[in-house]
Amino acid sequence: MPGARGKVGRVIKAFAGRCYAALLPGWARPDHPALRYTIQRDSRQRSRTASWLVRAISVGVLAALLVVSFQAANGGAPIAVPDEEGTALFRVLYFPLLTLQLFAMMAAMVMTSHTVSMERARGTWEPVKITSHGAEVTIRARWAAVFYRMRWLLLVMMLPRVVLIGQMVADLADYQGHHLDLYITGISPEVSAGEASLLLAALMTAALLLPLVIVGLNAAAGLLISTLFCGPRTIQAVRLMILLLEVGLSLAALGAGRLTLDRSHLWGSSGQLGLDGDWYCLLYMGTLGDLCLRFLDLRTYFQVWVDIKNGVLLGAAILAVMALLALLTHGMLALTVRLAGRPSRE
Amino acid sequence: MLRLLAVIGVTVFCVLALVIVGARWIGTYQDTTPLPLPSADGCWQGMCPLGMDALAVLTALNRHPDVVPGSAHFPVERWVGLQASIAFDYAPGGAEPQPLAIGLVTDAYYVMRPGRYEDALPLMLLGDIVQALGPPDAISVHPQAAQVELVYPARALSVYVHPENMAWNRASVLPSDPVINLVVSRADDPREQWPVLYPPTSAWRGFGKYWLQD
Repeated sequence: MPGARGKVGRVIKAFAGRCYAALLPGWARPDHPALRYTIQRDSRQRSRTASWLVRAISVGVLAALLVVSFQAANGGAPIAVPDEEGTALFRVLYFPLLTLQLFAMMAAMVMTSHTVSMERARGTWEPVKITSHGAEVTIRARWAAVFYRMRWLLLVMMLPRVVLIGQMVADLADYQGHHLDLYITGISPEVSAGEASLLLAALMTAALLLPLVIVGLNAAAGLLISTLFCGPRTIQAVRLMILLLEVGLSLAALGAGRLTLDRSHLWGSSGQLGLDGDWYCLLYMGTLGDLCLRFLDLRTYFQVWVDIKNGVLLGAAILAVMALLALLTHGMLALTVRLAGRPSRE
Repeated sequence: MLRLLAVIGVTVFCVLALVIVGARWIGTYQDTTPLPLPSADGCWQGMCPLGMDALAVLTALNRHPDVVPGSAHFPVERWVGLQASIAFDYAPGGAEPQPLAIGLVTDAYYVMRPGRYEDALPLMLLGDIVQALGPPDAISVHPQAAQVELVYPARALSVYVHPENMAWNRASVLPSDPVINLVVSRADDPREQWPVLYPPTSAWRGFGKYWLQD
């Protein structure tokens, strides 16, 4: 029996390895020399003490965010979310997660925007470029390394989302399993319970993957900056401008979404207009504001279905925008690789 | 990487769709109706307060197997608009007792919580009612009382709800809105007899916004 079990284990391992190899490009695997070198070089830039200090500070900041948010929610004034909305856990987690998301977006861009200038400073960029696919592998490995370096932050961002989605699924069992059916009566457009279930699954999928896509997009944007601009000061200035623009857009999306949600319960235009401003405001908030976080409360999201015409389609629309952002990231990386591989003028 | 994202996306989507279907299926096996509703013949828990006086209702409640023995009484506080009211503790099958009251008026009775509805637990949620009885025939907005009334004419039943979102001329009606009381009447639709006393009704078209003059 132990022999048979070992054989089954080996088969599963081989199958998983084959799937892994088929899905993940070579430069994104941790055993690829370029990626391994990039990760090791990053980790050696800081001393052991500095690394531990950074980790301790990160944990401290996260704990402080949680405490501040808990105190505010406990006092009846949760930060960035109305008091009556969602469960107590949702109200406590919303603000820390929002802050972490903004930080992750900025960190991804900061991590990659000096890639080319640092290689130039080391004098390794020209030799890299004249090797076969050298620039391409360096750029792509740098992009993949962002996910490896930010893995703990991404985990901290993703786990609460999984918990909130679990809560949504549990809430679906309310009203003898007809929670969803109650909310789809009379909404526009008319959908069956099966279709509504798929549309809800689309929102949840987008909510789980959107943070990864946004981090990837920012990392790709940082790499493009590093290829397009020379000189650390220019890069810093451009990066600052883009980051400020991004934070501004995110805050504007949050504000627009909150305003829409707060007023739509009573004053929205349900059943009167087509895709109106309210719908676009919520799409904007879901994709660039809090990355669907606000919709990870079943009641809030169902209320959008009821109060806003075509609200039921919002999850699918966010998923579609997420796919476009992934394509944009792919295109940006391809452009960066092409620009990086060109011979230098000097 | 796009291929990886697509595979992860499709997998996550399929898993979540299955989980959603599973949760809805599990929910159908949960008996969560918090309180029994009046039956189609106008009685409540086998007791028909429409044909009884207050003392008879009190006696019947004290003998009822789901009512804590001796808990039915006439409260000191008189509720405006009611001819009589009887408060009691409802505890079916030895469950945690919950305070209830039956209010009597001419040709109608109320099932409600004792005390001010703003301070009391809701009887149940509107979603429980619609789930149990199906959609109502009509709905009417009572802005002065900050209430919405759902009308089931076939059962001579009106369900009064206190929506969380309500303005002077409209209300957003949701399954999570608390039900304040259930009113069973014996007479024909009182709206037809005294139309001036009632706000206009509109046909039920699902949860969402309703206007005073729809």
